[in-house]
Amino acid sequence: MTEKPIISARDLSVHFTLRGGALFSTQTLKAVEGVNLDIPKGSFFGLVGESGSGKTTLGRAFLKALKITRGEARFNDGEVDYDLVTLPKDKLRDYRKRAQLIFQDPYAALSPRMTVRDIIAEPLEVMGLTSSREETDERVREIADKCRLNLEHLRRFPHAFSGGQRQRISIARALVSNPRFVVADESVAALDVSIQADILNLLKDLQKELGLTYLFISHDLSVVAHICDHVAVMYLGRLVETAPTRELFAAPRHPYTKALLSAIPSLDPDNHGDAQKLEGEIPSPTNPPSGCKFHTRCPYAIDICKSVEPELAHSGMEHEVACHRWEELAEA
Amino acid sequence: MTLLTVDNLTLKFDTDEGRITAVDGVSFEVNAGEVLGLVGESGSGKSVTAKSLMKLNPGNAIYTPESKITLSLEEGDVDVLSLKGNKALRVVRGGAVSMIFQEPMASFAPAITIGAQMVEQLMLHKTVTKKEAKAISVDMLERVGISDAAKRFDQYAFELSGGMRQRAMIAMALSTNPKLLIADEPTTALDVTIQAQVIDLMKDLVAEFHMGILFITHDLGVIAQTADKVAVMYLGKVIEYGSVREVIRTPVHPYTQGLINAIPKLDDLDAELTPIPGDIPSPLERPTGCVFHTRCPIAEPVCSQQVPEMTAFDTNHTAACIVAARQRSAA
Repeated sequence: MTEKPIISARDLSVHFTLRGGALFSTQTLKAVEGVNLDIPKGSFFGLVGESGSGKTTLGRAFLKALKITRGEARFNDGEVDYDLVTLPKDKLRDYRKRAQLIFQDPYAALSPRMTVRDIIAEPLEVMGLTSSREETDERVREIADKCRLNLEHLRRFPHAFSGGQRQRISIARALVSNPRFVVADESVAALDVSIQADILNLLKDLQKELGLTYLFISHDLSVVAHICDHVAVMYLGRLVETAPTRELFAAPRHPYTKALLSAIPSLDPDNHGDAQKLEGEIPSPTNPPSGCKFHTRCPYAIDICKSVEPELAHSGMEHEVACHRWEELAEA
Repeated sequence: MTLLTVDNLTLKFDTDEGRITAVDGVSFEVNAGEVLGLVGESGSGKSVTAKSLMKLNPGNAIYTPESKITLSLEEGDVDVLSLKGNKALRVVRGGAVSMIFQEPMASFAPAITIGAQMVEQLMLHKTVTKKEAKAISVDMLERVGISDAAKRFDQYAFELSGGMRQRAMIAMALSTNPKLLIADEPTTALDVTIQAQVIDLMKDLVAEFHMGILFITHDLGVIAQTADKVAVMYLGKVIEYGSVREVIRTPVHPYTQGLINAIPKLDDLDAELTPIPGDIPSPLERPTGCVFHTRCPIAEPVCSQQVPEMTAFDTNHTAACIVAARQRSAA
C-alpha cells in the first residue's frame, strides 16, 4: 500500500468505568482493547461481531464521539493529518465535517418536528459551511438528488415516509457536509429485505460518485460479504481476524469466524451447515476470560489459549488472525 | 392430523383515518408435529394473523362473518373467534395454544422472578399445587438447556442473557403442554450463534412434544432451516403457499421471487442484489386487484382490476398470480 490509510489505529483501547454493586466500588469495562487496524482510503470496510463485541464503540472512537483510553488513532484523508487522541477543539469542528455517522434506526434518527429540508440542512448551519440560505438550499437539493430523494419531499415531515425513504434522508444528512469517511452503524438492520438491497446499492453508488471510505458496522455477515471489500471480525473488544472479503469468506482462519459463518441459516432447506455450532454465549466484558477471549466457547482450545492472549499475526497477504492454532487448523 | 384450520380470515381495524384491512381472506392449516412458517415484511399482517389465533387484537378489530379459526383438540373442535370472556379464552391463551415473542425482555415482568411467573401461569391452566408447579418449571428450564435451573428459577429477567431469556420464555410457553406454539420472530433479536442454538432447540421440541408450530419471521433463511410448509404474506394476503422446498427452490409468485433475489447469498458473492422496486404501500391506500401490482415487474393491465385466486402449481404448492398461472397453463 503506497497511499496512507485514512484511519489507522495502534493499540487502541476504550475503557468505561462502571459503578459496581457495592458503594464506591468501580469496575472497568474494556469495550475495545488493543486494536490495530488500518482502513485503506476508498475502501468499503466491514466490521462484524455479535452484540457486546465492541464494534459500535470502535466506530465511535474513530469519530471521536467518545474518549480514547489508550493507544493511537490517526485520520489522514490526503488534505489533513489528525491525531485523534490529542485533536484540539478548533480542529474538531473541521474533523466533524470530514467524518460522519449514519445511524441504524431511521425512525429514531430524524426529528419529527423538522421538515426534511431542515433536517438535511442542519449540519450545514451548525458547522457554518454555507454563507447564505440560497447556498444551503442549493447544497441540500444537490445531495437529496444524489440520494434519490424527490425534491418535492423536502417540504414534508419524516412521518410521511417509509423506512427506506427515511434511511435515504439520514444518508443525505450525513453526506451533506461532504465527508471523506463515513461510519454506517447497522444502517440496514432495521429495514425489510426488499428495501435493504436498495439502500446497499445506494451506498455503493455514492461511494463511487463521492469517493467515500466507509466503515460498515453490521452483525449480518451475508450483507457484509456482498458489499464490503475488507472485513474485520471482533470478539469481546478484540480484533480476531481481518482480511479482504473474498479471502475471509473462502478461507476463514479463526474458529470464531468459522462458527459465525456456519451459523447463518442457509436458504437451502437441505443444507444445515456443518456441525460448527457454538456453545454458550459471549462472556461479560466486565469479567472477560483470561488468555484468548474466545477459549471458553472454542472447540479447539488447548492449555496455552487459557493463559496467553494471541496477537494478530499475518497469515498471508493482508490476512491477519489472532489464534494460537490457526496454522495447524488450516492444515487439518 | 390437522390441528389448526384458518379459513378465509379477514380482519379490519377501525382507525381515525378510516377502516384498514390488515388481513384479507387468509387460509392455512397446521398439522400436529409440523412447522408452518409465516413469512412477510413489515405491514404484511403476519403478526396480526397470529394474534387472531388468541383473539389478542385490540377492541377496534373487526372479524368478518366468513372468518373461521378452528382448533381441533382431543376434547373436540374449538371455534376460536366465537370464544368470549377471559375464562373461555384461556384455552387459546396459554392452555392449548402458547406464544413466544420477539423481545424476551419485554415479555417477562421485570420485578417478578422468572420462577414466580412460570408458577403463576401453570396454576392458572393446570390443577397443580404450588410445589408441583415449581417442580414442573425447574424441569422445563432444564429441558430447554438452562444450566443451574434451580438457581435461575429465583432470578429476574434482567439477570439473564438474551439467549437465556429466550430459552426461559420457551420453557414457560411449553410448561402447560400446548398443542400449538405460536413463535413470533423468536430469533430476530438474537445473535446468529444464539439463533442457531434456539432453532435447534425448537426443532428438538417439535419432535419431542409432537406440537404444531406457527413460526413467524421475515427471514427466509430461518424458514428454510425450520419449517415444513411456508405461507408468504404481502399486504394482508397469502400470495404463495406450499412445502418449504417447493416455495424456496421454485417460487412462482413475483413477490416471492423478488424477496429471494433481494437476499444477499453467501454462496454467490457476485450476484447482484436486486431490490423490489418501490415501497410497501400504506394500508390506507390498498391497491386494487392484485395487491402487489404496484411493484410487480410482470404486471399487466388486468392485474390492477382482477383479484387473483390461489391456483395450484404443484400438488403442494399454490400461488395467487394471474400472469404466472396463465404462463403455466400455456406451457
